[in-house]
Amino acid sequence: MKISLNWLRRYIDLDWDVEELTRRLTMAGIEVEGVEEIRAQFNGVITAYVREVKQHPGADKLHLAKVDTGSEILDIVCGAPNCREGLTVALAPIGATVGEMKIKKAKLRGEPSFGMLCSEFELGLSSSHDGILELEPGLPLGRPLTEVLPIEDTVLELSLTANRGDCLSHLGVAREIAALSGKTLKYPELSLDLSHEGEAISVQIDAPDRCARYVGRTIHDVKVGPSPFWMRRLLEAVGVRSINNLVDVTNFVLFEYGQPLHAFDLRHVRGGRIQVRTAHEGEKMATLDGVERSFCASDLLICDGVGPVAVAGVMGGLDSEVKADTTDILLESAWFQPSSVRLTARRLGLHSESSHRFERDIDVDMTLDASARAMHLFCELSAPGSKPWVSALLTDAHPRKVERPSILFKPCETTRRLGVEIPEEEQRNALNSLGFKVSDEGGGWRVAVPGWRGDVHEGADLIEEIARFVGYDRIPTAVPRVTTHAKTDEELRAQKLRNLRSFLSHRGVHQALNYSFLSEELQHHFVAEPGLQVVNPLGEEQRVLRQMLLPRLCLNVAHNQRHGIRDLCLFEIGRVFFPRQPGEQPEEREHLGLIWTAFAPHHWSAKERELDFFDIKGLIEDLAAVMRCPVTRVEAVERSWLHPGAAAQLFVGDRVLGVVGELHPQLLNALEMSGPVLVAELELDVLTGESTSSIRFEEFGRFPSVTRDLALRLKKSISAAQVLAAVQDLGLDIIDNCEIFDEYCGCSLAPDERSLGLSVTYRASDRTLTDNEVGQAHGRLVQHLEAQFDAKQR
Amino acid sequence: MPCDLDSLKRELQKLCCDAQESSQQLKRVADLPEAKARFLGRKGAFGPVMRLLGQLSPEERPAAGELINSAKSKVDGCFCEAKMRLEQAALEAKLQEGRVDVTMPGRRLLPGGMHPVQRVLDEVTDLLGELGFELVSGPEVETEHYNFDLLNMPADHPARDMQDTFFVEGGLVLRTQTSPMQVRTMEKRQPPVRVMAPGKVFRCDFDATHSPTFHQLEGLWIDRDVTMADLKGILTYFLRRLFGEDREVRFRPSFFPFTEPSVEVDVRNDAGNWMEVLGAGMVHPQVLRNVGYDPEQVQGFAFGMGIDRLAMVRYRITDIRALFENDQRFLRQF
Repeated sequence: MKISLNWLRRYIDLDWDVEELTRRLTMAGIEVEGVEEIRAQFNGVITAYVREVKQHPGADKLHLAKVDTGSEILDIVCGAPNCREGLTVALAPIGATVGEMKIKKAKLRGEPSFGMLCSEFELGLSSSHDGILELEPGLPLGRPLTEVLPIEDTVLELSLTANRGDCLSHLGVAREIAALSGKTLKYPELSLDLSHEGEAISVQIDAPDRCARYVGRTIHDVKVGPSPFWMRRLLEAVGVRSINNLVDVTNFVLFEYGQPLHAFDLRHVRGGRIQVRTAHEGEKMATLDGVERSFCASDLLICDGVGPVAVAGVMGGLDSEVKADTTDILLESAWFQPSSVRLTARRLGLHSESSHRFERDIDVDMTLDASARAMHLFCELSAPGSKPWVSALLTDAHPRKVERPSILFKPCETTRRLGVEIPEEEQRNALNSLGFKVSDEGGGWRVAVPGWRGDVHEGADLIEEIARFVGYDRIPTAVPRVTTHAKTDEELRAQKLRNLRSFLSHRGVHQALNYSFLSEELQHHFVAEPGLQVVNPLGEEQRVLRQMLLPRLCLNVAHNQRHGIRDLCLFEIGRVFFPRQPGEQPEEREHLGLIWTAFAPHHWSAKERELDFFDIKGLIEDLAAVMRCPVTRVEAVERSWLHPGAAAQLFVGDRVLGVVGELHPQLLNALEMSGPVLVAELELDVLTGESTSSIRFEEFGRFPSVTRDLALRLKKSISAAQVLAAVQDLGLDIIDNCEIFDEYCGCSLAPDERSLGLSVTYRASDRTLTDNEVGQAHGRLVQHLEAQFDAKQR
Repeated sequence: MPCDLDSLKRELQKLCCDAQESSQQLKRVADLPEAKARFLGRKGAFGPVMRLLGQLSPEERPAAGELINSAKSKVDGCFCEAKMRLEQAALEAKLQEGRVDVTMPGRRLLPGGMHPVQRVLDEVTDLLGELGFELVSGPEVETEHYNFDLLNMPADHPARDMQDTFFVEGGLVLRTQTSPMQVRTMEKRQPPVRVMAPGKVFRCDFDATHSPTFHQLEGLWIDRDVTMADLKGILTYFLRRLFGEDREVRFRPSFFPFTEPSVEVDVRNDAGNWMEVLGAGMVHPQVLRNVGYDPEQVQGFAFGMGIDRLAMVRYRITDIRALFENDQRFLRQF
């Protein structure tokens, strides 16, 4: 909301400078977001009087004028058609600047000119090229133009909160300043000549719950013309383009009172009557913006004897708008139910200055004054040669009162909530100053809320009024009271998550953050089941809620690769959403997604190699170990989006930790990535849940160990996990550890065979093992493995 | 062979000379034992000399023996010296071989970046945790009942327009604020309640300063006697810990449907301008009634802050979209 200080000064004397005013308003809850200084775009331009005008001897379109500055008579050559004797004008004498131009002595077609007579356009006051600016006759001569015309102004940009609709007008802000400064408010001139009776307009309200009051009044024999300079300047200052005197008056009163008005051309109010009713389903009308709108039963319409002429509180109809030849006007000044206007405005996507105010619950008592004010201005500003008259018969249809509450209030409550004692008299003064009526009742007060403060409902609201009036600085800053509690499960989990993030960071993984929604198509690459739909997404890329983190992480990789970044490892922690019954909140689970694409560890001393499955598997196994939930089982799985030969499901005990693998080459193509890309999508709850391996000290063997290696030729279909399980199954208690240290497939083996190198460590806790003992055990192990897998030791 | 002391002396002298020469010509430690054996070994050059001893008169033998021993130790000394020389040379050669250009790059595993939003979130939750606020969390897909109605924002409230809401099929919304956690927590517990709820929130708005997904943190403290002076106390302490102890903090009236009185809190930045950092207020009596509390008996305050904006201020990020682009050149800076 823009507030012009020139405009504001019509209603209140401002002693505060702009900085102080800004501070006071902001600290009272009317935030001033910005201050715009409107300055003249000229310098040295003065008032002057045209004494004499002659035709230029050498040019048809030029005049030679003798211009009086009050102290001298100057010869000026002027090309404007309206340059004539007896005109008061704006003169830029030699030395003045107009816009970028510095005025110098000139010769035009042989005639000397000692300055320039200026148009509004040249002075940067409007886009009008219609000749030179004609000033009010009788102005003192030789005075700076900025002194006689309201050109310079200061405009405050207010950032109003949704509860303060009462400050969406200059009078409203002036009222607030009056309360804060103790000054008196000066109300605008409303007087009307009501000697013509005219004809009353009939107003019928069929929906009194949604239209509590409708004031209709007519004015006749007005004439459309341009608005005076002062009004155009004020409207422009608050960002409104001047149209003509009649339209400008309705806008002016809107920004003056905050009361939206609508002017109908009376010729187009068929049947001379107004009906306020809900729309028939499918009813149509073109609005002022030229768009044909279709209405539904929830919309409130203003209709004449035949059909709709306006959307109540939102926008007028195209046919009945004021035109250049309009002479008779029906002026509407009404109160519409905020939710009703809000509903229609939202449904039509039409947010107007009117709807903005009606939605914020305007003061129902303002309708009469605003109507009278507009009528007064219509008469005052009607174009020359007209004799407008206002109909004395006004129609005030007011089927329902709009009640403001009267609140029982105990001033001691203020102390209880604010933590500081504000004397009762000060509280009473604050409320009275802000327009509330305080009377004693029982042990406390009865406080009547003024019509413009529909946002105040109960004691807490009054406490805020008092607090902001005395200033929040009055409330002391208490010493912070600290409390303690034992760590909750949620907090322990947060701590674990920090460890997890810190581990990944130390392993070179960057933390990513993505939106929680994605396109259906992208999700469909990974998940078959449909996700929860966003009803009003910003675009198709944000259509469904994610069920996995990897799809968007893939987009991140593609983005980075497009920018030439090939070494990349990202993780994300976030919620994924699984639909339940319709209308029921979905199941929200937290996932950890990880994506890795790079050439693994590169250094000038070593050859580069591509990442493979075992890099990501190892990383996740380390992560699980750090989180004290070590991976206990790994099984090959199939996922459409993973490489069929490099995809595995990881288990922690009997819980599924998640999936790791290499992305399918077809997916890489589809998402414009280059590979290999290794990924993991894990259930965070498994990692942050109860530790499966608690920390307990275990005595370690102090007797020496013996290590024996063995190479076993076996079928490729037998997995490493099976071999290790078989070693375990043998149950030899002196086998301390068994590791796979080599895999060999080659020409010396059959194509379906491979050779696994096992390194077996033997150790006893109570003695040094003899060669013989180890030899026997190793022999048994080899035999056992050979027999179980039809394998051969190499 | 002459057999007197003089000739023995000469012989021994020659042997010593030969040994010295031989030891000095050695190039490798490995050749040393063989060269040494040629003099001192069982079949070495001293063998014949020893046999000469027997031919000498018994009177001469002690002197001769002494001569021989002295010569032997001289020869041994030569080879010892040679050994030391060769070992030293070998060590030097080895060291020479092991010299590197210390300015070549080391083998590093560069640490990954912690997302700036995460960094700020961790810092903020740490600070509030110290003050006694307990961490709670709740759903991101909310009902309108929790996201709006119970927070004193009925269906036709203009404040609902302040927050452009994403609707989800089935009459649900993506939570537009973390405030539903106020209500969810109070519904489950009796006062005193002192919690913080960080999390993702959603609004359909997208430009350099608005992201459809962003992060908030909600704080709530309800007890019998929590006043607005406590609100100012806790938040001033918190903001000074966060922004610097001599920061100016300003509390000014504002409006939120679920607090009354409401406060906007500003901190003066380095440029001298007031910067909005959080919204707060005394919890609205209607909200307390909605969860079954008696506003005559208990009261308190709530506050909420935008974490992303805080991160942008802290790290001088100008476009919020950079936070969600996940460009490695961005992420690695944190």
